[in-house]
Amino acid sequence: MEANKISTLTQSDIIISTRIRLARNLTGYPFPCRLSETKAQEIAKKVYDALDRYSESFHCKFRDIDMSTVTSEQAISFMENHLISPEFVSTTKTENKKGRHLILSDDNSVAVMVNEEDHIRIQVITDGMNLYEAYSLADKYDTLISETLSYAYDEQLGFLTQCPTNLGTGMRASVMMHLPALTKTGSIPRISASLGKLGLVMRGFNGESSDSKGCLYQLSNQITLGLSEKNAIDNLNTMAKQIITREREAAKEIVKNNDICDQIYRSLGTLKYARLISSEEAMKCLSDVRMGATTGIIAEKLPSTDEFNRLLIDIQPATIIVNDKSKPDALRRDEIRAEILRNTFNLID
Amino acid sequence: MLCQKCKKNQANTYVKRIINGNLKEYHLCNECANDIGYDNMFSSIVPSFSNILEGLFNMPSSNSIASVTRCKLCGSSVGDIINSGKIGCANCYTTFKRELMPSIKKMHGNTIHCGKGASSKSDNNSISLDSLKNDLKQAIEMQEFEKAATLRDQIKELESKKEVL
Repeated sequence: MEANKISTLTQSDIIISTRIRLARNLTGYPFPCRLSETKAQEIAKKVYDALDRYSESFHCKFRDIDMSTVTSEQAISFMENHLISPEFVSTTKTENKKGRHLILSDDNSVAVMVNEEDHIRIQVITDGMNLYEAYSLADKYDTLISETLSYAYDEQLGFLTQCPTNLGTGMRASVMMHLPALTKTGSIPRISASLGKLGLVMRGFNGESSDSKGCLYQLSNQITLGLSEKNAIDNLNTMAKQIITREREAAKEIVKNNDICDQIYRSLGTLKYARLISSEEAMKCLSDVRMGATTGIIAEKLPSTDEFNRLLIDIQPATIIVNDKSKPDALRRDEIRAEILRNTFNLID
Repeated sequence: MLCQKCKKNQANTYVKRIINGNLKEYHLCNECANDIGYDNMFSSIVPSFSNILEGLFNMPSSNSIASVTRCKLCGSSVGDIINSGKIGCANCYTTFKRELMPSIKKMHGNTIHCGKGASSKSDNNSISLDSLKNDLKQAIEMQEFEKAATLRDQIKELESKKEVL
């Protein structure tokens, strides 16, 4: 998530990133679960050509990455960068047969997965809270692709998808939220339970599991049929803002507690001086210090929100392997991770 | 009522199982129900197709029935769809509409698309319906009741047209 086209950062103390995903399928081909490799490759080529043809109007170039040609570390690193789903990684390892491609814009702001669960999954990823702009960008790509390729669409059911949970708009809008105070006060289950009625769902970092690494949660719409894109985004936006308000209030309260304050400063110490650190510990420390920064508990100068967000990705295991040519083992990765953190946190002083 | 398994959370999933002709009933919370595999989105079809056939009529499996309806385009049967949780192709939605609709309704609480249309057909009934509904909401908020009534009639007309489709 480096240079994004959409650069205005809003609520970025709590909202780490926004993502819009549109699921689309082409007419005349079975869905990916019943697709032959030849046909799958045919689709991949068509989608790439459709995007490439408009690369001037998008003001960016697209890279076509055949997932069967990348190493598993590279694939996992794409996932750590939130460019592809965990499912897209796991099957690339075992059965390279399905003609899976990742079509990536040069600034990584648009990632199109081809032959994942659906033929086409257009994803727009931006920093901070940017639901409306991200949607309008995804919508633009979608419309341009549909000028050359014909989508499977039904007047009643909307866009037809391999899994009926995506029928209708095929849109999943989500925001990644950092909620340390609500996690520490045990409020997350109560909030999650109340979201169902609004057609929204909140999950832990990286999908399904409910316990969350580094207090990161993904809030997204669940209902796609019968609710327009705009209404779904409106609901998500309203709810995200309410959660932000609650998080800020809870954070203000809990940092008055000396235990929490102690935790925050210990974590800062670890980030500045540790020589070996696992990714879990690093995530926890970054979460503590981020809360220390947003509540103003830590007085000294800290890395910017952008740098915090970049660190969340750069310290992940596969991304370390991809960025370091020496093929580091687990111990060496803990060393490299500690070094990255020390460099970022000490240069600030 | 509390979940019978974990005895902690509120039970919101009601599970009925017929094993060898004996009916068992459970009240579970979401998590426990998922744990034991009751997250199948086609659960509303599953009992009617496998349990009833296997349990009541003592049939070995629904696949052995000679005249299974298959999708003409991709060859999927309802059984394939239930087992994999995946629809085979766009045409399956037409072929198995009757079977799929109850599950779709349960998932989304709705069966009529509202929002962006395929751009090749840009008449966009759905978008105009959407904006009419928004206008209606605003009209009610502004207490412009005459306008609201007109809008309501327009929405009704559009919706009835959709249902015919």
